Amino acid sequence: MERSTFKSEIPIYQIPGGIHPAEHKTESNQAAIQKLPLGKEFTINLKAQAGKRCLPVVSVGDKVLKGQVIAESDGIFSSYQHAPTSGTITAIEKLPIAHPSGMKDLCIRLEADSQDQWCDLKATKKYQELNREQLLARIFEAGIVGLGGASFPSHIKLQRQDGIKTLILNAAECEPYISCDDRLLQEHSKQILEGAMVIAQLYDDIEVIVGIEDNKPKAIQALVDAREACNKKNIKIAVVPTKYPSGGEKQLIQLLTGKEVPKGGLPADLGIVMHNVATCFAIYEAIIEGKPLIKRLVTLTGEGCNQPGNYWVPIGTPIHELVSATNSNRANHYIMGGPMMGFDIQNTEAGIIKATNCVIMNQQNPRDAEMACIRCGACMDACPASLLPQQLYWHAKSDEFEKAEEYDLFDCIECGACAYVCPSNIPLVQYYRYAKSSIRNQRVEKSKADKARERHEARQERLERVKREKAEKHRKAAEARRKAAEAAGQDDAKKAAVAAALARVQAKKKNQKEESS
Amino acid sequence: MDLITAVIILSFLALIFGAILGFASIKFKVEGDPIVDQINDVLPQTQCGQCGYPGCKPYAQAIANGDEINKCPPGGEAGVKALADLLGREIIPLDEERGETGPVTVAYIREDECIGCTKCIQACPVDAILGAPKLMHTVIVDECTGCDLCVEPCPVDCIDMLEVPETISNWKWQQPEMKIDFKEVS
Amino acid sequence: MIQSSPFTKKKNSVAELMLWVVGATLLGLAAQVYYFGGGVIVNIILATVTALATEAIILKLRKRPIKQTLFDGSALATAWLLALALPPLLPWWMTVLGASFAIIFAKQIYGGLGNNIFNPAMVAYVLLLISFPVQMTAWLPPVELAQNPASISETLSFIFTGQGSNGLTVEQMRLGVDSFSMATPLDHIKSELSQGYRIVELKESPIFSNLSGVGWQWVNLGFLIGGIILLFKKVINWHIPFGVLAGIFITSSLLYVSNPDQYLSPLFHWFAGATMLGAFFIATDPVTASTTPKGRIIFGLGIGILTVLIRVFGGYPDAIAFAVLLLNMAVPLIDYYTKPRVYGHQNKSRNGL
Repeated sequence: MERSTFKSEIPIYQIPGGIHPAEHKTESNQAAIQKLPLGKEFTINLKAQAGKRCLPVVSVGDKVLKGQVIAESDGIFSSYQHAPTSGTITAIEKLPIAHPSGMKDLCIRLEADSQDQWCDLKATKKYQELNREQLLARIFEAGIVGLGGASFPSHIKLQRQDGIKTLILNAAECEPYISCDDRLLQEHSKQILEGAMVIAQLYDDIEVIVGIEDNKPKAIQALVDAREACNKKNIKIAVVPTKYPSGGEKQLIQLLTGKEVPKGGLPADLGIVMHNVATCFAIYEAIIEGKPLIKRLVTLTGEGCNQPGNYWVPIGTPIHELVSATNSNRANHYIMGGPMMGFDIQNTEAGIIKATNCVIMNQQNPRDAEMACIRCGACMDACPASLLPQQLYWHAKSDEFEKAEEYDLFDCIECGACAYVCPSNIPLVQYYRYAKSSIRNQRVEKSKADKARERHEARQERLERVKREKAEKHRKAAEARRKAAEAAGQDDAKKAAVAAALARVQAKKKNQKEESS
Repeated sequence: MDLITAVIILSFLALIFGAILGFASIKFKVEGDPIVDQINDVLPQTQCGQCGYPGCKPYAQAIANGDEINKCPPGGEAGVKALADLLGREIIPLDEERGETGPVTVAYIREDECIGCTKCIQACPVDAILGAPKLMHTVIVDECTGCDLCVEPCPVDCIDMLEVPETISNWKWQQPEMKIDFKEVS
Repeated sequence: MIQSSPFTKKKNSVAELMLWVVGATLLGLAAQVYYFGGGVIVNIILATVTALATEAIILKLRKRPIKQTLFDGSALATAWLLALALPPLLPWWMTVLGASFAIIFAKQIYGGLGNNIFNPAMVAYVLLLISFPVQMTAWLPPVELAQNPASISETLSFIFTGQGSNGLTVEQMRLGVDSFSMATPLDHIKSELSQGYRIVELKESPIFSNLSGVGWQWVNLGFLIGGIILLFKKVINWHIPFGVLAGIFITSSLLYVSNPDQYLSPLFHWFAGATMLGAFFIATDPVTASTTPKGRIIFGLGIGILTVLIRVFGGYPDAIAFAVLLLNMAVPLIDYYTKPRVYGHQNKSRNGL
């Protein structure tokens, strides 16, 4: 594939490991961005972002306009969802979602009225006049999440201000087949840089670096031209050699700064905030045009795709509509995301989500049989996190989760480089995911058990206490009674004594009388 | 004579090493959890009483005193294994008389039918049922251990034990199917 | 069954790796055939057939799928490497014994490929060496020195009947005047040194050549080139061969500098015996070698150092096999202490070590 000769404007560091799979980018990055005919039905997944599921604010039968809020953020660590087109809400229920499990989850189904009529938009040409809070609120309300794949709510990422010195725009796009960021840069570099300027305004003094792989010469040229056009000289373009997974957040930071995000920490700990170029474009649209995030650029490609290319797709468009719109009748297997980190779509009813950068349509091929591990270490040489995949595999396979954690299982980014190079065809990532999800479930169970124990102990203690208190009460009552009884007894004694005394006195008198008489 | 020398030397050595070991055992003594707490940590804390003891802690105490480790159906085979590992005992099959290991459940009160008798509240070992006399009761699902103890006392049979459904938040990846089954023979 | 990503795979396989290893030995093998006759080919055929048959039988007994495992090339590589290390005229049953022992006791008993601790070929080699020391050290003289090189029929006769056409055994031949059989240069030097000769005097012996012994230097050069091909094909990493050669170089240099009369030069050690075969083909066996980058270097260095020490001070002329087995034992320890620093972790160590 063509390589850019553009010289990186900052020094580039090395990352360990990595692989060079066949790129398959030219299938989709040659044609200009297209639009698909407006679909009839949309299925919007309410748990499509990192964080909490959003809360629907419409009911079945409601008519909504394009861009209208249909689900609100549940607290701060969540996001908004907007209607991708105008139409009627036909269902709010559990529907198939785009998730590796193939399960159903709460979705809103919208039937388009084919008017595609916008609601009122709050465009702001002069975003410079908005303050930090206002900008963040707009980004929040526009439902913007990271479009690189993790769907992390952007307003949360942008919240921390102090110590942030560098904004990195991630345009590396290292996965094979995917070319949506490439194409977006080729056609909309100006808007992307404008979006980056919006982000830059949130910080006092920030340096902007665009990190891009050298297999996107046209996009690099477009960036250079756009920078020239909008006179943003302080933006630096960093060209990194094409290698998977250089577009991983941690890897790109290492490539551009030579620093590593500390374990358990965030890029912000290094004074860095990173956003995908598509997110910058979404922020541009949200602030300057007032449009919420209701569409995204998706690469439709794969051997089974008849019209590969990049398309603007409204969020919630079911996969089968993408298949029929591109006449991809030869395909029977659909991958959401790239071939390295994507997942199988099990139900094409599922709608695309904000993180869907690519749908690969191809024919299902049976995998080669898994053979014994010969400990060749090819996986270790490919691991960008410097883990020992062969040891992780060994422990994950035999359910020795503690050992796997000791070998830093949770530092694995699941990039798949190890499984790609394995001569024994071992699905290593699946073993790691199995171990990770088992450990997570065990932790949940453990904390539940701990809570149950505490509650049980508290209850035991309460019962004891109640019993004790009851006993105490009884005892006190008894004592009171006894005292009362005693008191009563003493009265009697006094009376008796008095009576006795009186009797004695009387007897004396009688005696005296008898004596005297 | 040689024999005596050897015996003396060996005894002397034994004495020295014994002293060192004794010193070390005091000096480097590991302050661990008492064994009962460690056992209790492994038990699932369902507090269901299927083991025949009034809760997990008493069973932990009993195990520490030598009772069998296979009396906890909610813990299942995995629980027996964990206990065996902890205590260095043999892994034995679960005592079936105690019940079977079923799926994780939670109690659910059909609220329309509840008469507000508070009997279930009294039975719940973890205070997971909320209510007051003559008022409807309900289960705090997150706190329920699925122990079953509330079902029996209910005079109107309005409590169901429902399986906890798999959702995307507790969904789990499975181990790959080995095309070559290495566990087949062993 | 839900399958996880990745959905793309590099086109490679264990069988491919093993075939590359076997293929890369061909240059060294050619040199061996040229200098020491066709016996090694017979050994290779014998060992391969035995190893594959044994593997098939054991897999059958263990009720494992046979076809897939049999053709992963690992048994072939084991047999091939063992045969390359055996003397050309070794009686057939010893080769058969070695190859079957390698598969049964060094590989399958541990659970098959990937689970064995010791290099199977070297376990078999050591078994044969300590059981049949005489036969195992009886090499042919290189063709340039042989007065009557063994013909094909003579070779076959020796291997399968234990005696040549004239009815003499290999040992008898060795003692005989025609020097049909002789020791390897390393063996020769060892016995001469023990008789009080000095290296300079030994250099006069016809068995010596520029780098090491006649013929042996070419065999080693052949394996070196094959090894470099494997490096370029990324079948093996540079760490282990580098470690082995560096270990040999450092140790033998120290000895050589201290007393050149008594100790051989590093160059000689590099190109004598099984050095190159060991460094590039045997020590690099992935299953039994260390797997961390630093660990691989330590593993190689250990083999190199031990090889020289055993060659010089030990009871056996060559020592690659012993050194490899000894370091195999140390692999879990090496791996544990050379765990690479994981991305984002502060220090290299864990558990405070």
